[in-house]
Amino acid sequence: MNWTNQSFTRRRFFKLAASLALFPVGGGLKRVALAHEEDKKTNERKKNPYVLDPTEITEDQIDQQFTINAFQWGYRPSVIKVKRGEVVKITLKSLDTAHGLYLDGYQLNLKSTPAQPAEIIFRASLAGSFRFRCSVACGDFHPFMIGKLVVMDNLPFMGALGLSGLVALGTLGWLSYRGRRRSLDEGEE
Amino acid sequence: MSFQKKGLARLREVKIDLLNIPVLGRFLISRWFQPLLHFLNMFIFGLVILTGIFGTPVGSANFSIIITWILWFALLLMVLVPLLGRGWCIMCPIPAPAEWLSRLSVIRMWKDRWSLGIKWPKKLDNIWLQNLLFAGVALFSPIILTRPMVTGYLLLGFILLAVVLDLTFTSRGNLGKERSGRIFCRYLCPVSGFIGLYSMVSPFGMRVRDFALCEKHKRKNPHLKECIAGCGPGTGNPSRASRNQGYGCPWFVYPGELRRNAYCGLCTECLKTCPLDNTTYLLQPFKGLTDLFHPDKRKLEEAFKGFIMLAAAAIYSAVMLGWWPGLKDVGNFMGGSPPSTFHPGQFGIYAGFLLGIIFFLVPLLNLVFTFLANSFGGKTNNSLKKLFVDYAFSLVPMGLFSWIAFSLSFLLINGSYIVNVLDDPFGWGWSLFGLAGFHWTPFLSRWIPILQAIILIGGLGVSLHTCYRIARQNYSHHSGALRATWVYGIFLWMITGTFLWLYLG
Repeated sequence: MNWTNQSFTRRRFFKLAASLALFPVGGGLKRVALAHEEDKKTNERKKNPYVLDPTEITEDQIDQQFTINAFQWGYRPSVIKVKRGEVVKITLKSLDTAHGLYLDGYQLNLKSTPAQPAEIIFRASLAGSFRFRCSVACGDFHPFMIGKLVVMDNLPFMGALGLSGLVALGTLGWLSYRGRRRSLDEGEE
Repeated sequence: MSFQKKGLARLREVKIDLLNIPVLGRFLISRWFQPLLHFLNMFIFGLVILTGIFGTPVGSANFSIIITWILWFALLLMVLVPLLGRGWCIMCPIPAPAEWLSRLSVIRMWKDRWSLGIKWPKKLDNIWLQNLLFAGVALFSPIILTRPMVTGYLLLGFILLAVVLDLTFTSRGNLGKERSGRIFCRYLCPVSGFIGLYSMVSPFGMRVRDFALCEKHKRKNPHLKECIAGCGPGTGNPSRASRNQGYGCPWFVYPGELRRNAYCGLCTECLKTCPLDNTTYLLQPFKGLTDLFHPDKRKLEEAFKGFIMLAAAAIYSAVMLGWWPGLKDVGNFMGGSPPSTFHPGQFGIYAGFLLGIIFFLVPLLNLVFTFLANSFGGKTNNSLKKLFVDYAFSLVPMGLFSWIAFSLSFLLINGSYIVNVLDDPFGWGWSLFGLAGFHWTPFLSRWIPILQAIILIGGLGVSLHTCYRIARQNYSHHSGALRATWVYGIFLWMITGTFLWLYLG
């Protein structure tokens, strides 16, 4: 038996073994996945509220334009900043292989190849800092290919930082109150 | 004592004794219990190794990467460790072949464990090796996490290492006599090290029901402790009134003195061997973080484990979830694939960055804030070294919460790959369940930063409380402890702020 045949037999064996082993998981999984696909299609049919139709937008209505170059494994620029409510146009250009840009929060998805840039126009209605990440498997560091869009003011970060300070003060206040009471109970000077 | 205080005290004392639950109790002490979990995980593990070595090199399409580093890692840190402590160690398949070989049996007990009997060096009877090995794994993690073949060979290597070490060495631990056992798990496994540290936050663990009973038994029978020597064929101990036959503790821990979850692997052997039926699995839902508050048990190497874990969470967040392509280039020091080429310059920068933060920056900041806390709180009788270790334990809850926040993002963003790799584990183009059309879908991407912020802020609160409790052990008066907590709290808040910036900034 030559190498190709051996490899083929090995693959067939693995496939059979994996099918048998994963069969119980697969039944339930398939149902979940199909339901999810159905939900996704329904969602896609609903219009993304942030995306604007390019045919209805004139050049002077666009407040900010960015050309983002995608490469293994990053974006240039990797950080873009806009003001809340601005109309933003993003052009994605892949420099080496196929890449995507999925914007968290806004759920926008662009896919580009070196031959074909992609563009999208949307209104930055949500304030905060949003990661955008590659949506096309492009190699080893694909899951870590990340950039960020900052829609000023970044209330979630400032709010969370402020809240962490409040929690710290609150905890210390509570510890102070409880500790003092306990000290009094124990007759400590 | 007020009614409210009595209620709280009573709540803290709530203990669920799992061995007293009729069917579960019998199952837990059965010799089948652990091997069953081993068999199940051995199958998944085998598939992880096979897919890692023979499958596609594309990480996001390979079963080994997705199941190990996205599903298992997230489940470990988000569910298993916080709820079950060392629960993973019961079922971990890595030491199973070594254990079966040393017992020459899988289930039935017919002789004691054996090994070549070389003594494990006394100087290494601690977790420093685990710390170094974890730092080593962290150093290569950008490669391990993205190259299926590296993951496959690494796990295979761990199994072989466990076989070699467990069949070669014996250790005393705190057993009082040399025994063969789980040398790899206890002294080398990089995962075991951090599970042990964070399991101290968990409400679940093995404990004796009555410490006095063990003490009495120890005095009466100084040479016959079934939980150490085992009970059954080949152990020299008859199978008297014990519930079952079992081996001596393979983790080198004497249960009669066990007050923390850190070093007990929950292997159930002592549950089987105790002639007094004094050992059990206890679930104490409201016990709080009492494991962290045993001042005489805190060790320098455990403090460093805390630094390593906290720093690693921050570095991973910056390299893997950050928006700096330059940092990713440095981390990806094996270049593109194929062919992969080692870039020593990039590796040097990454190693300097990672090891500098882990072994220099975080310990230095801890030292500075310990010194300041001690200065503002008022002098204590304890040395600066002891205080350095003590306050470092405030970082344990924060470390666990930061890992949960990190894993949450990893799981929700990349979790949908699980469907693809179950459908096509090797990435060879199969579609075992007809799900080839299922595409990558991030879940709750808008809410992830908010959830992360809630987790991190919760961690800050718990860490501040831990810090105060630790400070209170060092000060006889409340006001000194509170002042020290205020100062050290600034350090804790700075760490939280850094993570918030990495996730929300």
